Amino acid sequence: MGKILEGGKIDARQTLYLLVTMIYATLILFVPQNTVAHAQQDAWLSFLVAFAGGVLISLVVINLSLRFPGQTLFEYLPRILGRFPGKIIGFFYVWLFIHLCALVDREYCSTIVAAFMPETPLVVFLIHGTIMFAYLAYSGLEVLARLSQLFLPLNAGLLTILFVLATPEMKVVNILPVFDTSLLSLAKSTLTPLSWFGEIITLAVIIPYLAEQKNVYRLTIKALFFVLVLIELSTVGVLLIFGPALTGSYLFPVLNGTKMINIANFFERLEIIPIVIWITSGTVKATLFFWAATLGSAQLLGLKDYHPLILPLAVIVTSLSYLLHPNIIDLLNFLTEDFPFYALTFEFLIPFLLLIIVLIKETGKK
Amino acid sequence: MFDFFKSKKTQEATKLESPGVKEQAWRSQKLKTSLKENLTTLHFILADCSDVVFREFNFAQLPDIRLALIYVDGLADKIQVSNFVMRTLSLEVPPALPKEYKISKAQAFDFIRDRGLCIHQIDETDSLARLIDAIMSGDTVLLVDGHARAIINSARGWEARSIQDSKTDVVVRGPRESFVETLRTNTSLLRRRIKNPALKIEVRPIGQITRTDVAVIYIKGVVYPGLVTEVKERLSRIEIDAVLESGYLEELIDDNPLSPFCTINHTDRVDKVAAMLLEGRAAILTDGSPYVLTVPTLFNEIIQSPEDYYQRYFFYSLIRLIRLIALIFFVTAPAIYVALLTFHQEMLPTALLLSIAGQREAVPFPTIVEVLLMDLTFETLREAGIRMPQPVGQAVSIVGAIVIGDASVRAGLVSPATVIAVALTGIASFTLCYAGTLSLRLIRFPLTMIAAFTGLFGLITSLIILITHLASLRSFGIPFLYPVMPLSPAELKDVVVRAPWWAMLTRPHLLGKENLHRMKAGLKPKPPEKRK
Repeated sequence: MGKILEGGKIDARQTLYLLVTMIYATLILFVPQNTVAHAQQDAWLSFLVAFAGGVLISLVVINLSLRFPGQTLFEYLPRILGRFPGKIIGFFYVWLFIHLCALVDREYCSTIVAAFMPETPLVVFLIHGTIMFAYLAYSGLEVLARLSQLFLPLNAGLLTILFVLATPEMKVVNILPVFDTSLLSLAKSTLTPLSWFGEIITLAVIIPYLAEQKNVYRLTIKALFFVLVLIELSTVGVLLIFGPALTGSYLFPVLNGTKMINIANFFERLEIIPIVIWITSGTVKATLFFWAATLGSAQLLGLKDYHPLILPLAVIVTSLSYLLHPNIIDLLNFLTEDFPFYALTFEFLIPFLLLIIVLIKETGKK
Repeated sequence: MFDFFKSKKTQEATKLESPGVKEQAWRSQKLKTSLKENLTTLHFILADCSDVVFREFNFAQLPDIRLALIYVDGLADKIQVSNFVMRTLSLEVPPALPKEYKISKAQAFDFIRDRGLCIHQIDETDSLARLIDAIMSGDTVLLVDGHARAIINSARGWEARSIQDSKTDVVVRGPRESFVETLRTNTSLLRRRIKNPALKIEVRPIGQITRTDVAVIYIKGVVYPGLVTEVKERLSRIEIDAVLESGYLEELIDDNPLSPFCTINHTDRVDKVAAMLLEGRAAILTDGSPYVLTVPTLFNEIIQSPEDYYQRYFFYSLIRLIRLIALIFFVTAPAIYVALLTFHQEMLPTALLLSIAGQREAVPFPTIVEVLLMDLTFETLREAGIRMPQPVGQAVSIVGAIVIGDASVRAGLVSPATVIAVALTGIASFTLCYAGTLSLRLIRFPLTMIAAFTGLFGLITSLIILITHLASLRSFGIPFLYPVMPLSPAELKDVVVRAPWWAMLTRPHLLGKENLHRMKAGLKPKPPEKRK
């Protein structure tokens, strides 16, 4: 059934790029500040721990998905839990994806309003974003994967160049002493990045559309590893520039790091580069969640085509992202205080329970 | 059956109009045995065609047999027809035969076909439609009394343009020949480049009225599997009255009719088409047009020129990069200029900003009006440059350079910075492959407007949508942005740079997957002692 809805197939390399783009997009925007605020100069350590957690989550999700070949999360939920409860949980997941999409949309637009265009109403940017991801979702998963293939190398390259250009501002003393954080702070600082790594749950919707499924484990861990490299690069980069105290107090440390660049009075005011990185990758990320939400609702409602759902859902997402939070501080508070527990329920707890149920059912059959 | 066949009486009584394009009933008819009847039919169909020549004469071997030659004056080679058809049939008995050799009336046709004609290529038919098509394409038809068949002599010869330099793809180093309007000349040009029986040329007529020959050319064993079938299927779908240029076909076989982007490239360079064929593509030649369609088309062809492959690779890799930058510049420069000056003045270095602001002080228009004005003027000048009669060329360039460029700045209508921005955009577009730039020239205007209303953010948004659109296009099954999206890193050797020939071991993976290996590995020249 899934194959009728979405005709695209993506190969291994495209999946890798798509997954990396999906996670790192907002990770380098909001997470460094919070992680550094908790873990100080040992923030790089909390990303390592979060990475390990992300691998665990992905193992659960992939193991679960591979037991139902050719089916998305929304299709096999009713098969595990029974028709009615399965669909209800399915709609919870549709909600999760809508919410995630709204959050990503809001994160970007708020960033641009806060950092660049404080006079422009937020809703202008939200509408821009909506047009973008509605059009992208209309083009389908295959095109989205191709876009990530253009954006990821571009963004990773630009990010690297940015931090290379910023090296004159860096001081090694800023990340010393190492291992100076208590276990509790470390655990606290790990939660937010972990909930980002946990977005790998989207794989449960993508897996049926992979051209070949034998390397999914290796592929996903590779993707998470690339994300780790990118986030370590940016976090350690800004830590080296500002030190833990300043980094923890900036809203967008990576952006502030870019502002420090001034080479020969010519390479300056390069903030447009992080903005390009964030908009391009954020578009892919928001669209992926949006696509998952539309596909999921079409599958749960038994529709033959998900395209008619794009417009209504796009309107819902836009209004939601406008109404969810009154301002960017509220958004940040939500993302760092409440979001990890809310997200990890969907990202880890439910898949884990589902896997246990499936395992029990299988042993029961034998 | 037509009423003119009913009886001779009615036919003579009522003077009939010859059939127009709507009456196609004669196309299914066969030839008659009687020459007179055949000629009446032909006279009827070809009535009022003053260029058609009917020539009746007696056969030398059997003087009671009448023969008739029909050809179009100007299309058939008259010298060949007179010397090697008429002369041999009406005057001379084949010298190798004994004097007493006699043939019967029934053998006459075969005798003429096998011994009587000194024409290199002949064909035989009994269909009226085939006969008329042959006459119309320049062949000379020979009818023999008492036989319901005709011989088609291929003795064509007409006035044609000689082979000249390419007008649109100009190179410094490389072959000069370009295609001409005659299909046969064009196929011969290709055959001379690729001397291999695997080069297949399949011809079919398209266009009910014009009956234009369209050839599908490919190299068997190299061409992308399934491509030829797909091309032929799309061509056979076409039912149109006329095909006067390959552009007609281009729009009828396009994958994305509603996209501003053309996903079928065209060129008049022979070497370029040969290279395309060798990469696994197919070419569509149209009689009457020097422009050859090549499919599938990739977006990166816009920054490629045949010359890249003939000159030293170091420099031409740099040129590729320059073209890539020119491409980005060409599409986005006016938009970025407008966005920066309208919304994001803080992003310009202060000194530059002050200087631009100083220039703009006297200008009464907002930046967007200024830029659109200059852009439209530039497009108008460009169009005038193409369309103007040759002798007035001087006038237009003087008006363009002095009046528009210099005087408008002095008059305070536009600022010098705007002139520079727009002129650079125009120059950037000339570095690219002309066929591909047309749609981008169009896209520039909405992008500039969006930038004027929404700034850089809207510009980035619309560029992402533009890229998404490009990424969703396919040309005959191949993604338009391949090898960038979907990414195939090894293929970038021929996109952002031009790798040396000894490193381009394979054809593009997606296009040339039928026969991937282009050359032996390890051809990089080495010092002599290592050669063993």
